[in-house]
Amino acid sequence: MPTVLRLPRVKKVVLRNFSLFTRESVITVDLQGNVFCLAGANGLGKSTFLLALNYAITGIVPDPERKFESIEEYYRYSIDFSSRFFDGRISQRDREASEIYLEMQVGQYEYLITRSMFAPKELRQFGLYSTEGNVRTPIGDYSQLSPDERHDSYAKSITDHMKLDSFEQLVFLQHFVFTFDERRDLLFWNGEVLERVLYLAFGVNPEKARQADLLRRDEDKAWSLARNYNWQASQVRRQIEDLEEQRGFEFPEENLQNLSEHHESLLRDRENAHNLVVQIEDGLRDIELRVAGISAEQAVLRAEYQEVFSRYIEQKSALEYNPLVIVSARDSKCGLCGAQGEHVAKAVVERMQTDICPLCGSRVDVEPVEDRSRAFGRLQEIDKLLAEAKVQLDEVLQAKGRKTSELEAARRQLGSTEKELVSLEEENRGALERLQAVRGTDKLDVVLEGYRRRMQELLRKKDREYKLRDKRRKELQDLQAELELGYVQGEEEFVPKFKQLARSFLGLDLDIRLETKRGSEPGITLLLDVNNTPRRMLHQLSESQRFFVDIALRMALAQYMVGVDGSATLFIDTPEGSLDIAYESRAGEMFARFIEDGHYIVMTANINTSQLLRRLAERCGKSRMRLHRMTAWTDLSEVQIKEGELFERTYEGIEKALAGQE
Amino acid sequence: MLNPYATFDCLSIGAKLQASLGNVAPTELQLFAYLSCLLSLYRQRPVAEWGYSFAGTEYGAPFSPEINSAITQLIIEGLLFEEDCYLKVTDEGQKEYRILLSLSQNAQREVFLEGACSSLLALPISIVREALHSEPGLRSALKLNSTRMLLSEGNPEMRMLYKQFETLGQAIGMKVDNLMIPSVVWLTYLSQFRTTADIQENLPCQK
Repeated sequence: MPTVLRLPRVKKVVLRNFSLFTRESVITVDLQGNVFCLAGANGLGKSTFLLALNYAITGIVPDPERKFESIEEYYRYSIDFSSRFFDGRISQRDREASEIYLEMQVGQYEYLITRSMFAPKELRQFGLYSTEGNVRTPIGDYSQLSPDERHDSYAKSITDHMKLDSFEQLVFLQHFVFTFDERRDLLFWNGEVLERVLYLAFGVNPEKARQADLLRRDEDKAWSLARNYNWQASQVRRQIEDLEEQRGFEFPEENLQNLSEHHESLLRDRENAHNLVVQIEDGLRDIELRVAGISAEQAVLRAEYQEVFSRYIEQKSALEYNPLVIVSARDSKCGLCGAQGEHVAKAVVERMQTDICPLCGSRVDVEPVEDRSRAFGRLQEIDKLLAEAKVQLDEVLQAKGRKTSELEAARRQLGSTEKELVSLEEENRGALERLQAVRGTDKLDVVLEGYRRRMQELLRKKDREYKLRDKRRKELQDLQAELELGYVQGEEEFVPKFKQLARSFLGLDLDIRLETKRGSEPGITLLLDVNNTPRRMLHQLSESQRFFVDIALRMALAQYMVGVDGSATLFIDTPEGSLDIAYESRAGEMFARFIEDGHYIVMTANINTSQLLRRLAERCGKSRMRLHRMTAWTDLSEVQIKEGELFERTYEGIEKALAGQE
Repeated sequence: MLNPYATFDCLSIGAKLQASLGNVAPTELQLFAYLSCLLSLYRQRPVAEWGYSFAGTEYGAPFSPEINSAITQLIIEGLLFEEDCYLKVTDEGQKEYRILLSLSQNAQREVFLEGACSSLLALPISIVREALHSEPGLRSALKLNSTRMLLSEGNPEMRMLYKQFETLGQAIGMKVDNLMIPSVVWLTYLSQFRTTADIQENLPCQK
């Protein structure tokens, strides 16, 4: 029996300073009940909410452009994308303060984590509690750790508590199985991913699943390298054949002296022209280095100029220049309280003359004049250096312009010489080859020997990679055999769950079976079949119908992975697509079945007339389903505001269904 | 941190406009700073060398945050004096302007600032303001009712501006010492262009 997993159940989410949601700086969402549905109009950020939720758990946001290669690489290569994902969605002003807080339960453990939206491998806060027997006991103190150490502690704990072998496996399962997001990446149609899922669900344990993942990756890489070396070797072989053919060429007798001289002269010209190009390019590189050096110096000087200038100007802030003081003294009217009369100007001037602040009566330190003149002296020095740098730069840029023209001319010369040479060689190919054979039989042998050595080397590498691939395949086959056994044991539990869910949606008996390939190309996948109907029926499923068949597969896999006592949560982003009204209703039915088995759904939905939400609401009722309106989070578009009544009516319909009134 | 170039430009433009207008509004400081920057571009200096940037606002006016900060700081330092929304360069400010002019960084800019401000000898300020509304970058911001960075390389407006400067250079020569001449000629062209364009835009539909 494979390891039974414990999956996280999110209970509370708090988004702080998440600028996308413009109307609330702190958004708190309690995910009570079995179904939490975040409902809102288009463009309000529903998908982003789900992405943020997954980001909080895993530190990762899926990169839709990246092809899946292995579980470990998926995590490693997604970190950089994830650290940049919220750029633009969160304003620069909120960048530092933005964060997401999560409370979740994994088996008997409670997790509290806070993660910055821009640091995938750090945690701002991490709390872990045991809740066994309803007693909440803290496990460890993580407050003194650095943010990345905190993340590492979290990753280790949750991996252990979920009974997985690596945090990367958690990320993979969360993103590819338990979440149906806007990528619409379907398991049934993605063999690479599905194989990994099967190892995790039906393999002996997650450790073996990790081995299978690495073996599959190494096998793919070795195979790809072997093919590559083979191709390179065939290219070299072709060149060897060409050269050997040339050596055996029968030349006609003719006078080759003039042709030979002309050819050699052109070869020399080409070499000279080539050398000149290289020489000018070297000179140009030196000049560019010089430009970079002077520019860097200018940048440093400008920065200092700005800094000294600020100091110089801001030192002027003597009281006598304060606008309030000037107005009070000039107009005999207090700029602060408005009192008028000669005494006002007199009092201000007297205090100023004795270095007393006219407002609070404190003694004022007189501005150190020497500091200002020192600052101005430095400004003059920098100014001079900047002027010198500019002269130098102008000179170097002029030299660069000259060299660039020289380079263009030299390249033109090289081009025309090469053209002449090629044309001569084309026109006199047979004669020149004969010359070459006469003169350079030894040279040709040396060249051929080099090519042969290269080909042997490539063939050796090819064989080595094929051997490595076969070795990995053999190891993988052993694991695959264990997986097959695991699947056979689990099939009786898993397949009926899938069939039941799929039938509740499609009204058809779908069958699912494991297909394994052995021998030259091992692999394992799930095949979908419609009972007693040809396979092509499957292709008649619409895109939206395929989405729900795939969701049924994820539900069945999740149920199987957590065992009879466990519970799973699926995260589903706006699933309704373009189903017709009957299928919408049946999709709601399918979701309800999943819930009735004690599992959870966190979903987002558009506010439209979809029957999915209504049917789900009718089946779950208020006790098990919560509808969260998103309209208060952010500003609606003009169209959405104008048509607000439509949204209200739809909300009311769903609320009524929840209350059992419809 | 205070931008030294914007700070000097405020004092220089302020001193010059004050001499001809009596006082100067902050928007006029922005306007002439932008015109000066355009003249440096006309002299084929890279925009990046100007030292600070401008945005075109939906009102068709140029705005530089660096100029804005410099005005605020110069008021605090008592080098500018604000009264009824207009600014004056104080005696201290005038003194400081002359001191700063001795730095070559500023002396190089002075020719453009002088060229821009002396346009007022030939054109009323209202014409200058209106004409600049037709400068390609500002015109685009005004027409599209949006704020955008001005003089960014690669913008179609920049190509149009270079084209206008090329024509202007061919007409009066790139090497003229006094930049007032190209400034006035170009502003006059823009103001006519604006009138023509407005007339065309307001023509009744041809049926």
